[in-house]
Amino acid sequence: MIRSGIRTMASVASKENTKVINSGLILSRIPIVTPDLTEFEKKYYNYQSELEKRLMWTFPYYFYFRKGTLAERRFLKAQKYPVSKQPGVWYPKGIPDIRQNRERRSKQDVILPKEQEDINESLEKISRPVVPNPRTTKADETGDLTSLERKLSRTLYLLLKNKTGEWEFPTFQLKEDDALLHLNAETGLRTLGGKNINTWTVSKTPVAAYENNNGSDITFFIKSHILGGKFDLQENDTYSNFAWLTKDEVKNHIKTDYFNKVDCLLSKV
Amino acid sequence: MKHTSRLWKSACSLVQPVHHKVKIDKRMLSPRFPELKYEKNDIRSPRFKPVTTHQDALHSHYLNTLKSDLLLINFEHNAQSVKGSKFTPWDGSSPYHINRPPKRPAFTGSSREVPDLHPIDWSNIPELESVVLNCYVNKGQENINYPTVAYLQLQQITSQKPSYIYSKKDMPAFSVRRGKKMGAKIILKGKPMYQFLTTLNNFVLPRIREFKGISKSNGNGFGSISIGLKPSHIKFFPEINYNEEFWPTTFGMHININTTSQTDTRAKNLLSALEIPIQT
Amino acid sequence: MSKVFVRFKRTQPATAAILHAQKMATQLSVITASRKAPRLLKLRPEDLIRHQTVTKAWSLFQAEERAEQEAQLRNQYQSTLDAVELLQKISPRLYKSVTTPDNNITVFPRGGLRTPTEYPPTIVWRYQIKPN
Repeated sequence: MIRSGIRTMASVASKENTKVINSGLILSRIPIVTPDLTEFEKKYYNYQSELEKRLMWTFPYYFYFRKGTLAERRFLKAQKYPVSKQPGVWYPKGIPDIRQNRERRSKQDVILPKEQEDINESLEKISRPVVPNPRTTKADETGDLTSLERKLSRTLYLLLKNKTGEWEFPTFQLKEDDALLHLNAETGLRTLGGKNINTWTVSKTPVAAYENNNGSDITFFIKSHILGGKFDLQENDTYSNFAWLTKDEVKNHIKTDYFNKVDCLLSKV
Repeated sequence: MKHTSRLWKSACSLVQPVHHKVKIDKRMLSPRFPELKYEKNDIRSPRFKPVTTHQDALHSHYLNTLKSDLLLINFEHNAQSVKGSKFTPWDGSSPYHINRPPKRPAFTGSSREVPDLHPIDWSNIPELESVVLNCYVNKGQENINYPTVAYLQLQQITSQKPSYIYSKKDMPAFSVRRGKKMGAKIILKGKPMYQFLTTLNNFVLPRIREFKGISKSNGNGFGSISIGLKPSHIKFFPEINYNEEFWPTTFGMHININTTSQTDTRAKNLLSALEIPIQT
Repeated sequence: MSKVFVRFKRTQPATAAILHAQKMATQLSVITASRKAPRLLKLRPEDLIRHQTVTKAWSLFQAEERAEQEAQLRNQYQSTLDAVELLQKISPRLYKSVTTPDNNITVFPRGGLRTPTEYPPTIVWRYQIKPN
């Protein structure tokens, strides 16, 4: 066991401070789709895959489609065949070098035969054509900041608007004497946002500390992920609104020194 | 072993000095094929193969989400490095200590030094290093075609180029001779590794009924986890499943997942982050 | 020389051994390069320079990303360390609760943090959680 192997220093006894301790919660919804590619990445991936097609071995279709089957005939029908070499013909693009139905000087495109099926068939049918869902959702179009379905390719963070009109991460004061930081944050979130929420607290260790009101109260941030359910703001005295925001939007919503504290904790993607 | 195949081949070096200990890359000495002297990632080399052909979803997920979580989970305040047991010289209190080989590391029978165990910080967050698929065919000596089929099976599953493995010594009880082809293996790194793990996670492991997750005792003590697949489990790989009539025989294999974490606990933590079921 | 075609000539039946040999030949042809390798690339000098420029740009791009990420992780580590040290100063009780190690393996929630896919699932988000 590593944990018992590594010595941990005994806690230094000191006087209990009179400062107000809060536990803050950085609640995130992780991306659902892969990150958006930059133009450079797209072009580089395209370049590499074209190179791969050029340098790959000829596709051994006879291994995948047995001779004389319907599948083989369909596959062979879908292929595009190169120009063959004939005696006494001048070829402007050079003499074809064909082996196993492949032009060896250029890239190989393996075309899979298309299944001709009706798109409007029922979902139960297994052989229906694969139609990918769009990467942008309705929430993106309407600009609904409270939806968990917006910006699927980015990490979203829960921000709350308090009565003074400032945005902040959910913050809960430690009231009981035996309250723990991460448990306090979890119960606080459930009283604020309803019981229909499933979260996973990454660790009980706080990731950051933020002192406000001239250092009279301190917020220790706990990191957590939302796994299911949703945050529904209940009637309360402290917060009036909530939003799920990306890192860039968080930056525009909160104070600069507050953002600088949590900058390293928020994912760029 | 990379060069087990050479064990049984008689070879004599023509390069002076003949009894050299340093391996000489002979393609570098020959003037005949200059293009063979380029590195493998150089486009002028005939061995060049483009690798970055598409986005790697699992790796980018690890970088964007999991890495910072792993750093936080493994955080320990005031943690110190734990020294591993090493070879220790004798103290010289006896004249017999002169020329005596140093004391072995503390664990019995171990002739290898145990590396120091460092606490996790931003520079050594557990990460996947490689996945090794080892397909040793017991019946390889009965049917000479079996190692080739095992080779093809690994190639189909991973779409990379495997290598053959050869028996290291004579075992008359199993009628195995030294240097006989006994199967195939492949070391996956980078994109093919993540691709293989994705397939394993989504198609194979959920369909194995008896698999309840990686057990508590699994691991070699240094952050390497292994899973064994039976011949019947191989049929769950989509490449084999689609083409099942071509595969009357499949061969089981060992999957070794090597991580940079130094302990099994951290390695299992990492694997659970990559959605591989872990028993707790 | 003219060929003589004989009707009903008995050819050798495809025995199991022949079929097996054919199958092995197919399998071997899948894993060997013979008759399947394309021609080698022959780049003109300007194309080679173009390729090298693109490759260099990609490696620089990746190095930048890596450096940025490492800086962020270093900051996160420092921030965690500062927070824990502050906690140690102001509340030894909470500090103790935070630093007490638990001996179990920390396991990520099964099926919780799913790997992103290129396109979203049909049910993007499950709004109802299972009652425990």
